[in-house]
Amino acid sequence: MTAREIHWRQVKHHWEIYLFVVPTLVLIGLFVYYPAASGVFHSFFRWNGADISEFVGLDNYRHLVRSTEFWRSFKVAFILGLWNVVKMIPALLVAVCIHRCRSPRMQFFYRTMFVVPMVIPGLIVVLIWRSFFFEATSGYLNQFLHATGLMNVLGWWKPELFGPEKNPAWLGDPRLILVACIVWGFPWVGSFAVLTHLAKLQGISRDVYEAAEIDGVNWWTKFTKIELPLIMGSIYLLLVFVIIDTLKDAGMILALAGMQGGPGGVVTVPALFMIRKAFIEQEMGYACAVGIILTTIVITLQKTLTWLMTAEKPWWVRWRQQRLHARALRAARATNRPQSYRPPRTIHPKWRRWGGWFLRGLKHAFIWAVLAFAFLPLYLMIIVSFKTNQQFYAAPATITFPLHPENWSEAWRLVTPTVANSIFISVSATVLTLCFALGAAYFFARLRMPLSRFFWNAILILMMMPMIANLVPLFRLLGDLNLLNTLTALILVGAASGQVVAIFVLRNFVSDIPGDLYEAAEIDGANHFQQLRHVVLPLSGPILGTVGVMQFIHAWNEFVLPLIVMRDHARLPVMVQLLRMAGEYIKFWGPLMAGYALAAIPIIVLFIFSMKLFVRGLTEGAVKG
Amino acid sequence: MKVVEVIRKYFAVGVVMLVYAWAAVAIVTYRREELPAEAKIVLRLGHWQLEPGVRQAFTRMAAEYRKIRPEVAIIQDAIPESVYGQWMTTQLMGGTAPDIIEVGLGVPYNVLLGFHARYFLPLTTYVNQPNPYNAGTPLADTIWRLTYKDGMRNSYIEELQEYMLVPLAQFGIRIFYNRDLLRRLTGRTEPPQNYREFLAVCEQIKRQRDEQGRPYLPIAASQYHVTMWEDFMANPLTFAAVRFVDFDRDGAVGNVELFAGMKTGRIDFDFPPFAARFEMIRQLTSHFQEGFTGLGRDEAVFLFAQQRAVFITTGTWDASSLVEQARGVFEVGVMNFPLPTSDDPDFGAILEGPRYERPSATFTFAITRTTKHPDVALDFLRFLSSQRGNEQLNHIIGWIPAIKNTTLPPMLEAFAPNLQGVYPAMPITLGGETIIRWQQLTSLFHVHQITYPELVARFRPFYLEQGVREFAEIVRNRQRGVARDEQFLAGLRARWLRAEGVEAESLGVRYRQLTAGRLILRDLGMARLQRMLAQGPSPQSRAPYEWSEAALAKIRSHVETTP
Amino acid sequence: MGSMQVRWWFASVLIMFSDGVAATPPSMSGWDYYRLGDFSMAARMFEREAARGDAGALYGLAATWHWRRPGEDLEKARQLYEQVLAQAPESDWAAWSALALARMKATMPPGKEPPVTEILAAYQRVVDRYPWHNAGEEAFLFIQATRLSQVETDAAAVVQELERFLKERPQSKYRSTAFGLLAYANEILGRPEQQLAALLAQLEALETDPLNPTRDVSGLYWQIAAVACFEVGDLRLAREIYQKFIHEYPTDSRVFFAKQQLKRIDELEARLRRERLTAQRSTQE
Repeated sequence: MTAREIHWRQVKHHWEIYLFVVPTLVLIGLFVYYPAASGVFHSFFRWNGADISEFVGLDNYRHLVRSTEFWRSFKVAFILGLWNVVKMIPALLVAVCIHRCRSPRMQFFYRTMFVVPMVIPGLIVVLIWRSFFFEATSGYLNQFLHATGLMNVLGWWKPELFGPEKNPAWLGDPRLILVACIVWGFPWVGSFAVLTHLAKLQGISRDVYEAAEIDGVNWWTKFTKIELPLIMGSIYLLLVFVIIDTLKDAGMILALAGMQGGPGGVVTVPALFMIRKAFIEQEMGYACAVGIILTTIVITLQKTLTWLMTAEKPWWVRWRQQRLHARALRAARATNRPQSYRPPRTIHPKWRRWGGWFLRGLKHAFIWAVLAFAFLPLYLMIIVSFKTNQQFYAAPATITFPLHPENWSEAWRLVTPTVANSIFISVSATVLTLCFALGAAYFFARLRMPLSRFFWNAILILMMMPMIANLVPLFRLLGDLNLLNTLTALILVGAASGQVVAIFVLRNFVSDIPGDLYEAAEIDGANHFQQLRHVVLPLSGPILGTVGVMQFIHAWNEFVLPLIVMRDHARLPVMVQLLRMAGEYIKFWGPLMAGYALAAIPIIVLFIFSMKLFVRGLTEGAVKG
Repeated sequence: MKVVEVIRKYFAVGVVMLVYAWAAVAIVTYRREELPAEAKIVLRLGHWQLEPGVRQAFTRMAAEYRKIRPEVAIIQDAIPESVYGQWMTTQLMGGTAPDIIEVGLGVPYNVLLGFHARYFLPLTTYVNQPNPYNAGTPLADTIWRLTYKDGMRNSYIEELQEYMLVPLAQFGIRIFYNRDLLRRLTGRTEPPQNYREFLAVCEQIKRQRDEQGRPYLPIAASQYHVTMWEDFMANPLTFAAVRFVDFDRDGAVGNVELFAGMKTGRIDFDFPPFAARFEMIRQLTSHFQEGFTGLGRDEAVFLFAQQRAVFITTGTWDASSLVEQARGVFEVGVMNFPLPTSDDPDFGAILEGPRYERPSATFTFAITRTTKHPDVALDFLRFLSSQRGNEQLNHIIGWIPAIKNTTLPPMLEAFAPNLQGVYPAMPITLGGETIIRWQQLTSLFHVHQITYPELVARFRPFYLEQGVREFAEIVRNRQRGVARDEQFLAGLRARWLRAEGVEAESLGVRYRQLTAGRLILRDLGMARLQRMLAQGPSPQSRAPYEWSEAALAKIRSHVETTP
Repeated sequence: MGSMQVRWWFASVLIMFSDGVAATPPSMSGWDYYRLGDFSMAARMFEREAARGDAGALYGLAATWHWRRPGEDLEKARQLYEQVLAQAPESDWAAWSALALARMKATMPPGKEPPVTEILAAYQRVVDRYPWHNAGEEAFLFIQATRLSQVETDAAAVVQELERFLKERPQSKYRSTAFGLLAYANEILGRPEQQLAALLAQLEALETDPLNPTRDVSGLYWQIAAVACFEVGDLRLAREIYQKFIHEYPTDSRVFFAKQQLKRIDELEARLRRERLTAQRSTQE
């Protein structure tokens, strides 16, 4: 449906549609735009967040430009970003392997299995890596390197760090902590990339594959000539998100390396630098300037990457491609065959059959290997949750008897209040997001009202703005509104930050609803409220479910803002509680792991229930690349 | 069927609503449970001490306090160290800080100073009054400040000239050992009593192997721990240097004094106590685990908890956690640092006494200005720092009380501070270059890559040459540092001139005393040393604690004329 | 959406674009910011207070520009001090401003300091202008301390000046400091008895803080005991002071050392007595 243009003189017939967007505008105006504007304003001040507020002009920016620590943080972020791009490869390979499974049942099985590591909150995975894998004396990583002999190999390369008698301190050694920040989460399938790629791959028609098989195309050519080009769109999109998210993120580094960014601040990223300046050194104006520069760089980078990915190719590239194409055509004419045709290799049928089995076996082995590594944190979480500390020291990686289920009741006691808080916050924020976003989506999709383009662009800009850059003025705003240490703050801010993606997704959906349905309703005398209620809402179930699940997971996993804003233990969300539990001086591993499991279970259950919905939402093109 | 269809259609939504309702009820219930019904006043107390025993101690002391004041409930906010600085900053700025908050971690000193001025209440008036909770004890009439073993020294903020903090404990450092492992590996039921015995026990331990064939470690160490071994065992050996280079006769050796002594030939690296210090370190580090310099504190503690090592040194802050980790598995003992006996072949003639330990109260708390009940907060802190209260609090935690006339928890008897002893007297480094060179060479020494004579051969010429430049830089830095003192004293002077009555008199006295110490008399010591250096080498000069000829003559004459 | 929201919105806009000095705690004055090291805010507050004619605030502004690091402006500070001198010449602030101008010369960064004679002359001007004011007395003591801290020093002349000062000002609150300088000067001159006498007088003259009567004189005790013992040979006084030290400061780090010294004194006396006995016996023989 193409939205009908409405002119100013026609507004009086449709004025009530503006009411649909007002709640969204108020929410994002107050919790996103106001902090952003305040951040810009205060970046020109020496501001301690309290009584000192002195205009210093561009001094903050001058100091920043000269600050080697600041630019080093960008270097760290770019290194991590580039590696995060490399870390997309396993997800892509897994998606292709699953897609190539001939049995739909196996495909479904694998897809279901990969859901679990995907939905375990990233913070929990980080904490497990921090406590179990990176620990120097008896961590799994060092044990694995010793057991496989890789430690000796590494020792030959870097004898000062590795060797048969050495136990590298991955998080304690400034030479190794950056490696640790890259390596954590192996095999890096813990995001929605697998499902997204799968959804796109499943959009490729079977006819294409059949035609390719007739031509005798091998598996590599299938991948490079058919699958990769067709999913390139989603790869580009994910690439942009990955690089930008790395630049914006502070949460995982904070969880892994602490507020100081590891020994010597080696893995400080820009967002962490900003948080430290604001909330430890009390240089809030300076932190606002960091936020502004971060926003500028992120927006510039997003625009640049998007242009690079989608722009028309420069003339010299076109000229070269034309020459190559002309040469291929000449060659094809000379042999009287289509240029893409390659005669099938003459391979003995028996060898071809065995080769096919081998490749199929390899494919399944690869998927199972990745699954095993992906499930390792979950496995550890479960088996350690039934151990005492002594059992853990004696046999950290295997089940030991007797089991200790009382760890779970201890964990339940510790995390129940915070799980309740998280459920309350996440559900409330999700409901608010959906209510407001659906109305706003209707506003943008249904008619092209005056000012709608302006509002739409205002929302689009928010997609590029890193929310963390507004953390400092947001904190101040919440203080002024007396919302610090309240669940209301987390709900409202969560709803505000969820508006952007939700409106984007829902707008596409609403605009896909045939216009005839609206006309029929209009003819029956339905106003916009009634059209929304009787036309849009009944059709929105799946998409609302998809968006709701994403928003719920986002709200559930959020911990940076609550870390700053909440004081009382009784009001903490579960992720902050887990972070605090991980900071305990003596760790009782059993209850700790049981606590992690309890924090992950609601998400896993929710996702299993809603997976069909979610996948349908993806495959029906809800997330348009 | 219709019912089934409805249930199927709305099942997910129904579950979500049910869980949401449960969450809402749970939140309300939990918040109600946190507070007793009759509590009219709620005090919040924030700290970072997640060690075992601390939270329980506060809970029990809060219960004790409620017997006196039933309307007051105390709630703790225990925050991990890693986020404490950021938490404290945001709570103070946001006006949601707890009524009582632990201070000293996580923020730079200049920021903390700002917190003291803006957010905490000064306590000077109260620390100069008796603590009412000491009634009926020998401390009943003693002002609160002087009931502390250290006179509440750490609570005084020089820049503000106010007492701002209330400390609640002291810390000490000793050796912890695995009793069961010691018995199993050496047959000993008691720890070694002196240094030679200790080394012999370590040798014995090293020769034993566990089930996997790995050798047992005598001592679990790390970069964090090695300074404790140095400070408590090796550094006291250098005390004798005080008698040779304490030119300003303040009873201690400064780095500039040591340099002047070395440069003028009054002392050198072959001074036996200095060589002895390094020899002891060499002997001790041969019983540390391989690669200890690259390990962190937690890793060494983990080795000890896993029963791979017998001895570890750490402070009272770790005592409860070590005991907790060992509970049900092995018994933890505490011993003092084993000193060489007077007939020890290497160190007997050199060690003059045990290590002196200055009493220093810490675990400090401030009262925030945003509290609605400052009087109650102060009262609770007085309760915790009374003789009875402080003893009880620290007995529960397993720490050392900060108040006089208190007893130590049984396990910590070995931690009783040694108030009479010797102290280190080899502050070798002057400035950046000498510090770096010294650290590099001592790191090599720690891992036995060089010997002490090799270390001296590499360091001495550099020190004597570079030291001249760094000495001059110290002099210049002192000149530059005058600005800081002048800045401070200008503020104090202004307070004095604007005050009235007895406060003005007090501030005037403080101002003049500080002016004398920091400005007028400040350069005389350095001038003395500069004169010495200008006069050149004089290895035969009389040491500061040797009798002059004239003094000896007078003494002789006095002895001869008195029976 | 009514007038309340509109008013709130305008208020927000006003707050956003206002001067930005929001929520200043009411008790924070210029000197409060100065003591916190926040010199920018201190200067602003002092300017407001000085505009009301407060000489103390003007002095504060001068001190801020003088002593802030970084960002000092000595020329501006000099002008402000002179303004204080002109505006309120008989006030305390004027006397301290005069001393501050002399200190400005004496505390120039290394390499930029003027000759010692110029510094001494600057102090002398303060002494001449405010001879009986605390600032003038401090200036006098700074003169003597400066002379004594030169490598080549005329300690005898300093001793004379100090003795004259002490004689003329029996009520001066700086007597203790003057005695301290006198002790040092006598040390340079190699006069241990006079040095000891000055140290004892320094102890005697120490002021007592009425709000904090307990004071730390452990350092002075130590010096007196050491000089008495090893320079003068007054073992009775040395014993007395070491024992006072041990009694009054039982937790001081030097207690063990003090006990060692007492033991050494006893051993020395015992040895000398033995030597005397031996000498007497051999004389009798």
